Amino acid sequence: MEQLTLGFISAFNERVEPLMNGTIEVEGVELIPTYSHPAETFWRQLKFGEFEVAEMSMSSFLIARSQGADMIALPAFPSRRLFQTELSYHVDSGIEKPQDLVGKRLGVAEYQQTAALWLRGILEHDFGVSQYQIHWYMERSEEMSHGGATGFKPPPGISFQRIAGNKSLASTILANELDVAHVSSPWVLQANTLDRSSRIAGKGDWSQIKPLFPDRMAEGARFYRQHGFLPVNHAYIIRGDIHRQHPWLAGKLYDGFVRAKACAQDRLAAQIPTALIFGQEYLATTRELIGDDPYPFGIKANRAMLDTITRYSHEQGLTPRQMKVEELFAESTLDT
Amino acid sequence: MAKLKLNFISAFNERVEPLMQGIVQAEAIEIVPTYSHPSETFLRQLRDMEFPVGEMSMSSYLIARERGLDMIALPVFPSRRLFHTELSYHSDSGIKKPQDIAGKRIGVSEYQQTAALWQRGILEHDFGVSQYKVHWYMERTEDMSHGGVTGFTPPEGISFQRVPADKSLASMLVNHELDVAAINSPWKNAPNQLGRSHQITGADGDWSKVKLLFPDRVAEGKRFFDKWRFLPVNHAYTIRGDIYRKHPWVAFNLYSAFVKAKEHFNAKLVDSIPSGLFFGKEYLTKTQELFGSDPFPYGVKANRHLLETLIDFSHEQGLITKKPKIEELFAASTTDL
Repeated sequence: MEQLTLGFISAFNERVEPLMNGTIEVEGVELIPTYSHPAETFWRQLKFGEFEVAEMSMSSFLIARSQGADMIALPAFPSRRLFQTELSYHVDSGIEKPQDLVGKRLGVAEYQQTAALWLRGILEHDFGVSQYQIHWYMERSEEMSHGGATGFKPPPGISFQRIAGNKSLASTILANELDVAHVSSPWVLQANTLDRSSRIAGKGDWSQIKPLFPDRMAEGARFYRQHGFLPVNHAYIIRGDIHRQHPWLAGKLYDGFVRAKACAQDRLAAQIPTALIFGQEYLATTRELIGDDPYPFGIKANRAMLDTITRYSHEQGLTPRQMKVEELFAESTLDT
Repeated sequence: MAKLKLNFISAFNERVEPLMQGIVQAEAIEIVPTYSHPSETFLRQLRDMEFPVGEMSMSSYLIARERGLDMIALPVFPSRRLFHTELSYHSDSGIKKPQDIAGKRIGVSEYQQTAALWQRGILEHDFGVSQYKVHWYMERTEDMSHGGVTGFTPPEGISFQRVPADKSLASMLVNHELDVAAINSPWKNAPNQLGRSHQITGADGDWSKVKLLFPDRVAEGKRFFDKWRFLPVNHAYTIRGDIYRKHPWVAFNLYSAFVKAKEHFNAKLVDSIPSGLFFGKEYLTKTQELFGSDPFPYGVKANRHLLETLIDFSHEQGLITKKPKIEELFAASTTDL
């Protein structure tokens, strides 16, 4: 039997890893994995469509789909973070709490990235700080950004500037040329061709840069209690030509993602470094705070999250209307 | 360039893994790794001395050295646990706190194993429960135990029995044929030739009646560390005497590589915490608040108090007849480290 060979690009993610390293196999499919920094993945995929199956930014996907991009998503969401808790401020900014962001300069890697979408939505809806009351700074250049590929223009009424090409998020926050920046993302300081913080480290004293939410666990628990989910930034997409040619693929791949996640869940306790000493106790604490399965897959379990992200995207002027779940995900996965 | 090829046996340990994988290399040495369950490793090493370099039980090492074992240790201690918090009791036993163990039946894999040494020592010194007031049960048979190799006989005055061969610690505890047992070791359920709890699981028993002796392990860990200033060690690494005499430089070269391997791991620690824990960084911060930035120190100097305590416990428990000097236990070139 001939197998369908598919180029597959994704960052390392413990819930996807069994699929990438072949522990979990998808019937009829041979995946050729490319590990990649998400910034590069999305840029390559949005601009050149190189891969048959790819990790994809949820926000850029909503934008691209609203413009008719030929790709379809699977409701597999293995990457979730509390993006608002990744904001840091310079102590000279006078900021003490999230509400103090009004009138301040806030830097993000990319205006339309999903992390920034959640930041704006949560600041507005949970802390009363409107996106129009903040001065937005974006690091990535037009050529080397996801927005460059999807035709990004700053939404009307937004105060928007780019960070100069010889500076970075890290260097500008250190110099207090920004008051707040999204520099505590696990990715933004890692070398990649889109972000500059790893190349332009800047001068200054990182002890002057403080997390906007000093108690991340308390803020995480608050968010989860109020919203009932953890924010998703990425999903996986199948390129439209492949999806049309092999309509069975979406269901099979989704099933593979589900099995890979189950595999990671089974291994989770044993994968916790013994250096934590209390790994089992910490895992129990996590479950008390955000439930037994903080990474649910499927449409049903993610209704509230999907409704929120499509609404935020629309009210932030990134999409011209609120995208419907049915236009985003492969038909065979809509009942999951 | 010629390298000395050395077979090396160890369990997987994140602080040793870079050395076993070859990411970190010892000067002038090529390591050929064998991954192994510690109980099997120690039996093979104590009995057959198959490997030039291997992981070794600290307690069995003290005993075997007194009886002339031809090996020398490196002060490398990548494996530490709060062994006494791995004890569970049956709720029908009437036990509510550690002090209630007096007069009760307690089961361990092996009487002389380092975990049991720490459990006895801590129960005695921190909770006033004398080893003589407890009825000890041991799971491993004489043939398939470390004590079988080192000539173990129960110390005088100790109430000692073996777990019958068709039973295990798990099955006896869940059926309340034991009141307390050390069943929460991370190794217990991993298949191995010496233990039986992974085969005779007691799965048909009522496990809701089995409780942790220290329900708040974090609080007990903090109490222990604040008092003793170390986390208990169970294993070190040893070099076989013939190799050490022929190539005395192996000791220091290997020690340096163990240190590098640990540093390599520590540098990647934050990133190696599964994102499934979600608050990995916060948990790591909490652990560092409790136990300092390096809960796994290597070297003789940083471990002197721990080693003295281990030797004291071994001696007062009748496992060794006289206390060795720390300098006799470790390769000469590593005793100043």
